[in-house]
Amino acid sequence: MKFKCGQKNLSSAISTIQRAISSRITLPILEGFLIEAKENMLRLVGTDLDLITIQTYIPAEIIEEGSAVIPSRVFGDIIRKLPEADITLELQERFQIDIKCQNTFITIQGLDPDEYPEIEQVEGSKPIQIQQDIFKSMIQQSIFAVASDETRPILTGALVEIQNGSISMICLDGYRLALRKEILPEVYDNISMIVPGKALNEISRILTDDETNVTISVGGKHIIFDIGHTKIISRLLEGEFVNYKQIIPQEYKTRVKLDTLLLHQSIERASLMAQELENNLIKLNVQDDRLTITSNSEIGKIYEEIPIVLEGKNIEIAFNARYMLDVLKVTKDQEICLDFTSNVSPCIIRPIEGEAFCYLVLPVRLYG
Amino acid sequence: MNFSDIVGQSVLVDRLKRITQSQRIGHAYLFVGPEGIGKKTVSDIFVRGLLCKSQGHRPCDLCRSCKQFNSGNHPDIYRITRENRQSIGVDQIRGMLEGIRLKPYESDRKIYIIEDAHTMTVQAQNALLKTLEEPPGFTTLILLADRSQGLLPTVLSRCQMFRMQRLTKNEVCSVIVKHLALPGDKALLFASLSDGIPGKGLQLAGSKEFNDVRDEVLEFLAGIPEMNDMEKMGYRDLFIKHKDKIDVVVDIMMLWFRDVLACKEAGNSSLIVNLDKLPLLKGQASLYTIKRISNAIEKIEQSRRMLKGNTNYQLTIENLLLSL
Repeated sequence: MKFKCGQKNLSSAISTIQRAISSRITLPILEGFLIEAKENMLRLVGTDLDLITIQTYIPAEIIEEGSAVIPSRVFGDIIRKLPEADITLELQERFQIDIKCQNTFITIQGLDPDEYPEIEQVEGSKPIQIQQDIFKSMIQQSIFAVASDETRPILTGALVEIQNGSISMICLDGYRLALRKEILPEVYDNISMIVPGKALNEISRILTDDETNVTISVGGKHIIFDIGHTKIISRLLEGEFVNYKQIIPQEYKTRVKLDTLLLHQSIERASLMAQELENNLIKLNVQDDRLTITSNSEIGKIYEEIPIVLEGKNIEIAFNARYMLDVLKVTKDQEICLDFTSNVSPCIIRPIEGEAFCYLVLPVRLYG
Repeated sequence: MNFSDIVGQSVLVDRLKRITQSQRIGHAYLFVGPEGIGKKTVSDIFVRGLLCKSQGHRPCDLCRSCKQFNSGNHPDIYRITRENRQSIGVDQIRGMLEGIRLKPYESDRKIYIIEDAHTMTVQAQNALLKTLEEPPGFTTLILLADRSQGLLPTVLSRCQMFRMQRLTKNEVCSVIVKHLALPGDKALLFASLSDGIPGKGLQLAGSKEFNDVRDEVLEFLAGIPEMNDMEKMGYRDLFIKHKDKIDVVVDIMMLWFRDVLACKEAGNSSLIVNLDKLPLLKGQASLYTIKRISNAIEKIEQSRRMLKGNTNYQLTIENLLLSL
């Protein structure tokens, strides 16, 4: 392998793939990244094996094709510190790598590329196209509900469902559920998979806030997010996800329409008082045209009142404030609907119109 | 290393070969056998065979998967070891289970290998149970244990068990000859002391310490016929010095008297283990009566039993010395 490319290009490509390389490596080869020179392109791959793999392409002048595994940290540091000029890299015998840049000559020891884990090529169903900013918001508005404890490993992932021209992301942890749905511009085959929550978090960090598309392809073991020259790949989880449709009640006895910001601020204040308590308890009382939020603790008590539009019966119900706040923090709609059935059944938070999201929060039982 | 390089264990190796060829793979296998018997060696070949991409003989040692395994870089193999601790704790097992539902990276299956599985704490074993019973379809768990007693019945009943048999003396001998390139007669001595465990034989053969202990003990043994009781008692310190290796010392003594007996009765050198001391043995044979030899062997065996039963070390040794 021998190629020539710009220092800036190479350096930024290395920083991109280094995000995937974990500091806690499980296999010695994962300390390095794979570099492959082929058809005027350099392909760089970094992985932590468990969560994500990042693959990026940069243009280069390829003198001789080939590949090698290069220790990522040392090489990255070296490239970053080189002057802004063309770098020539040549693979010698026994995976020794010679780097030349202006008057600097560096030799480092590489590894056998055959030992580097390689991902299957995904073929089959039509890849899904969706705007990066939309997909990013989908992740951010649902991922908080993913289970963090490992007792039910399948719930540490998010269910991604492509069905009848829409894409939904569902996370749940046994106390709450988040569902986020978007209509796709084109029609795709129905498919569903479970993507690890940690990987989605990482992906939302890499996605940009503009309207360019991300292409999502799904294979037997992996899901691939393609954004231009960079591909982010995550492994999928295997198992049966909870049948979430069964959990979400379709009917309600009380429907409350109210201002999101008012509710958010009121609950935030009320939860300050409740913070001391273990389950951060706040009490909601829906009465005719107003909702009162109260909470008591040894420090004192708080009373908040919000004007609402009520449809149905009055109700008194209690929640863990944190679960409510998680939802309100990410809701961008100005007004929302809260649906209740009884004070021991879940509260559903929906948009006024459409079904872009649906959050379900279980109440806390009130005594006395 | 491939299946053909395994000495002995022919029944087991045949079974493993059939599994790797048929690719009808179970969800959990347990290898049981004393330390040094070769559980890791055999299971590594087996695991390589399970993941091998070759259409013919598996493992092929040529495909990408085999290469990755041999360099310790296979992405779909997870090893859980004791990491210099006393036991495998529940946290380690939980850590392992965290990723268990993740689909394999490259291969069709993922393999988890738990080494020293008998050292798992009860909590760790219980944490493993649910997964052991029904791991995801692409997962195979392999447990290596020195003995099955340390494992809960619930764990045992969920695994297919492979018992590793002890090898014959000649088989251990051939392992030693192959690995350490020792001459056959020297290797046979270590093989005799190995208790049928190739790892132990190799360890003895490779250790200078053992040779030193043997020289010291043999020097004492050769002098016995001309010693009075006081002189014998003088060697007490030798035994006290090697208290932690008394098993080996007793083995050396047993083999010595066995050889003396063989020399006296058969006079045939093919039966002798301590071949390097043949002239000395022949001289010794004429100094003992058969009755005295058999008495000595009996006393040594008795002392070994007593020491296992935690009798007072010094008293037992003194008693033995006086009765030789």
